[in-house]
Amino acid sequence: MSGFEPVRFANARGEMLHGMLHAPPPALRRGVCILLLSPGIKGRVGPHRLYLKLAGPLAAAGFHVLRFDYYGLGDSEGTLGERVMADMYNSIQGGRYVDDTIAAMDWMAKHHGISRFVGSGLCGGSISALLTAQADRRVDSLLGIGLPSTLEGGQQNFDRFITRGQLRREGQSYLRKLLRPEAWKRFLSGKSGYRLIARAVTELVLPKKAKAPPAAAADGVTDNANPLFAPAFRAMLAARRPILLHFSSGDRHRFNFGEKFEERFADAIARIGHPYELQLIEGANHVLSDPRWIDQLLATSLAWLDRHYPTGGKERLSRS
Amino acid sequence: MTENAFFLPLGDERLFAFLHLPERTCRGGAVLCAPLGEEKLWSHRVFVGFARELAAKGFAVLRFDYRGEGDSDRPFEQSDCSTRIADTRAAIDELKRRVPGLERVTLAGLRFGALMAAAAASGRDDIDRLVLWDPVVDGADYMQAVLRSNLMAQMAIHHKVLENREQLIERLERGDTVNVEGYALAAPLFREASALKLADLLAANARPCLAMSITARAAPPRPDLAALAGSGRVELAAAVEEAFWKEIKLFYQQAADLTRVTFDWLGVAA
Repeated sequence: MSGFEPVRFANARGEMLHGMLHAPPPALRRGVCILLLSPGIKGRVGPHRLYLKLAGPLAAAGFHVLRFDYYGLGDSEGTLGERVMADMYNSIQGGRYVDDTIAAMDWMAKHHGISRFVGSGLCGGSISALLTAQADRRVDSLLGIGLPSTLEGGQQNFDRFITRGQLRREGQSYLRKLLRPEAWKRFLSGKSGYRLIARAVTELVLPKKAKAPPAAAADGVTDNANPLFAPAFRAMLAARRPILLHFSSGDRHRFNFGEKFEERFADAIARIGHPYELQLIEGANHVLSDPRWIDQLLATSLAWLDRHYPTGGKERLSRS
Repeated sequence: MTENAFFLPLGDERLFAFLHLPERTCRGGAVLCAPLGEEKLWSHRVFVGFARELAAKGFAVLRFDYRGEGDSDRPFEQSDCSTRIADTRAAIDELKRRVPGLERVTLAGLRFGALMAAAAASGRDDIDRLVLWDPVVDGADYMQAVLRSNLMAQMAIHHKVLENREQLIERLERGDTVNVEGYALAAPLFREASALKLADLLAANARPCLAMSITARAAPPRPDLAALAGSGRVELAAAVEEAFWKEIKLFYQQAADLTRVTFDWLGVAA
């Protein structure tokens, strides 16, 4: 797993950020750096060392790969104000780490002469890449993995904003439990989420009668879609920058993307007329804990990268 | 305080390490031993916070990734208890090498890291104190709990258990691996860990040792820890913290009570 070295650089706040830079073999260098941005608390290695498993093959294919800890996370300096995990994730989805990502690109440009970047990462890493792309043209493309388009629950209960796709999955899960005594025991204990169960089963059995999420609730929260998501995604499409998104088939982020972005903005997406690519990893979980799922992710990613950043090609053909 | 990340050569492999040095004179040294797998990641920031606070009190503190974890070399399935114990000992030697005049080191570990710390300390005369945070007391019980997480993952993915615990153990005995939250558990780690008991490791312990329960509400030390009180020079303590080594609702950057109790015991003014 060697082939990478520790690096550190300061962010705009003056905090020292720690990371690892994987350098490609000199003969294969494409002059492009993939930013594997931290998903959040699991830092620059990712869950079950996912980022090491990805970075090795990506570097071997000719890309620099930089993964680092954002301020307040991993080994980096700084502290965060949140006490609840969901609030911390919401701050990431609100663009907290755009400046740190820009600092990383500045450092790569200064020390390695690289000015083209593929923004990537799992979950929070993907949304940081997308939001940075909106702020900085050097993010040349987006390689998303489980890209979230909604905010986390935090102090709010977002169950009422669950997508119909998720409801169908939940409904199937509840039906499978019908013959299990332990499920009935829990159901009768008063601890189950009865409203969610009713909605999920209704969506599955009588889909036309399922109610849409409430337009507005007493707390004034009308939706859990991240308001920054659609403008950033549309801007990236409008700039004709390549996008490849991977979703695990059972991931709630897949349903959120479909129902809360693609469906809502179908006309606008069609008007822009720049396609993005979407790959489903069948049966996978959100963190891709099975090596076969990682192999699939790598295979599609490397093929996509080869098309957009061909070996020896200084400029991508489709670049506008 | 100065901080420095580096790779420590270990034969033809590398161990990732992170050194926190105090601003002025060094009054002691400590090596921190992380727990296993995802527990390491969830608790990482607490380790960083603790190391920085201890360094601010004048200690040189070394954190490191075991081979098979974090940024260190080796796939997880090729790591076991022997490599973890060797890595801990290499980290102790490296801290002493980097801090002139440092002859004795405090070893602290969380959960499985506490078990590894106790194992690494045995036979060494340069460990002056041992701090065990919510230690794994019985390696066999812990490995069964590790396998349980595979069963839970099977339920989440397949909605049923395809392989029960006995079949998973058979799989390990055949030389295959068992997926535990994305880590490939292999027989050597399972077998070696299952044979470890903290009481055995502490029986001949002659150095001061703090064994700390961690519970969300004030409570006496865990009964299995209380049973250790007769082993070696073990003192018991309890800290009130959430289980920050798991996925919980709270975002844990520091474990204030754990730090306070530990600092009190170490004689470091909090």
